[in-house]
Parts: sequence; structure tokens; C-alpha cells
Amino acid sequence: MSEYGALDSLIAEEAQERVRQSLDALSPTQREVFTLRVQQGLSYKEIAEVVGSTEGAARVHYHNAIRTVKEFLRDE
Amino acid sequence: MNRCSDSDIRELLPDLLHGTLAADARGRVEAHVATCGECREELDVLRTIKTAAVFAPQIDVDRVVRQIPLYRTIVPVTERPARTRVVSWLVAAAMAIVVIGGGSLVLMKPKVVNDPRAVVSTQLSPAPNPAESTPVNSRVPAAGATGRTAVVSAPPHPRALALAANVDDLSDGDLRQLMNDMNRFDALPASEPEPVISVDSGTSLEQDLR
Repeated sequence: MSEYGALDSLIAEEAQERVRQSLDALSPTQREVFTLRVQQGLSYKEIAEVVGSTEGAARVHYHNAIRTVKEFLRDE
Repeated sequence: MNRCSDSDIRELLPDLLHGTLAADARGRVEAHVATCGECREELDVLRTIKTAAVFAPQIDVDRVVRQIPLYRTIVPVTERPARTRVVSWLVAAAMAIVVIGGGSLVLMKPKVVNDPRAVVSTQLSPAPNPAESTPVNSRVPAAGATGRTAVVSAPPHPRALALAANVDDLSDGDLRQLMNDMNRFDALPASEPEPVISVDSGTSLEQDLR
């Protein structure tokens, strides 16, 4: 691994750690909805079926989650 | 940084990230992201989170599986109500009490004496006293026939001796047989409980006969 490659790996690990910490700040429901939306790419309708909620509630959970994560990463 | 007021576009950013948007929608979102700094920043955050792969342990797999209709039809989800669990605990507690109580009664129960000679000693106890044998005698009114036959011909059974306890109703032969029987009881091993009729009482009885 080159010198720049090692630096990029270190930065990526730090970014991953910060993301993990930001997700820890979410509630379990927010984390689940955010995961299904961002990681799995599910629609709000599909998320609502999975978590046993409504599409509107899933939408609210996602917006609250993305706002919390962005504020956490901005404060870092 | 300016706040983006186009919430419809922002909601489509994850779909743009996964490439699931239709062509016209993707063009519209990409055009907005090119001019909106906040949406660009949010898209970078989402891309970082997607590539970070830090979600896996957070998903409640059981809850997700229960949402699958096919799984519901194959394996019906039946949870025992709390009342059933309480009843089960009560039944278990009652059974434990019964077992412990029964065991205690068995341990506290006095031992039954199976030795027939000990029974003989308890049954023979009123025999030497003629005054106390009146009820026994009333049960055998014809002591001459029945009692005599029992004492003379029957083997030395303690019941027969007790019935013939009133010596006034016995003949000399019956009394001698009775004395022989009583002497036989004296030959019991020393380790056994001694009968109530002792050698002295037998001797005095024999003296009375003389």
C-alpha cells in the first residue's frame, strides 16, 4: 500500500467511526428506518410495511434521522 | 449555507444514490443538486453512510421476518399470554408444596411394628388381672365349650389366651395348658420387648391354682 493509500484508508476509517457515532445518537426506530432507506434503498411504503407503521411516519422518522446525523457530523 | 426548501427533491436523494429513479426524475434531481449546496452536502453524507456499512447489527431481524406474509402462514406466531404464564407458575408452586408436604408426612410417620410378638405383649397385658377381664368374658359367654376348645386344642395364639383370661372359668387342664403357653412366652429372646405377663405373675397364678 502506498503512502497516499494508507492515508486514504485512515481517513476512511475515521469517517466510518464518525458515522457510527452519529447513528448511535438515533432512536431505534429512527435507526431502522434510516438504515432501510439509505443502506437498502427501500421506498417509504416498503419501510412502513417492514416496521409495521405508516408511510408518513416512516417519512418523518427518516427526516428526523438525517437531520440528527448531519448535525452530529457538522459539530465534529 | 442556504436551507433547501424543496423537500420533494431531498426525499429522492437516497433513490438517486441507489439509482432507482426513472430517467426524468433522475435528471430533475441531478439538476437540483448541481445548484443546491445543502442537497449536495446531504448526498455526500448519504454516500458516506452507504459505503460505511455500519448498519448491519442494528436491524431487528425477527421483526422483519414476522412481516413476511408467507412466514406467517407457515409458522403462525403465537405468543403465550401473560396470564397463562402466571397460571403455570401457580401450578408449579402448588405441585412443589404437595411434594414437600407429602415427603414431610412420610418422614414424620411413626414406624409400624411388624413383630407379632410385640403385638402379643400388648394383647396379653390385661390377661393377668381377672377383674379387668369381665368384658372379655362377656364376649365369650359359654367359656366351657368355646373358650376351652380354643385354649386346649388351638396353638398358643395370643388372642385365645386373652379370651380365656378369667381363670375361674377354666378347668385344671386348661390352666396347665395356659401356664405352658405362658412359660413358652418367657422363652422369647432378651432383645425383644418383654411381655407384660412376667414370670412372677405366672408364678403367682400357678400358686393360686395350687
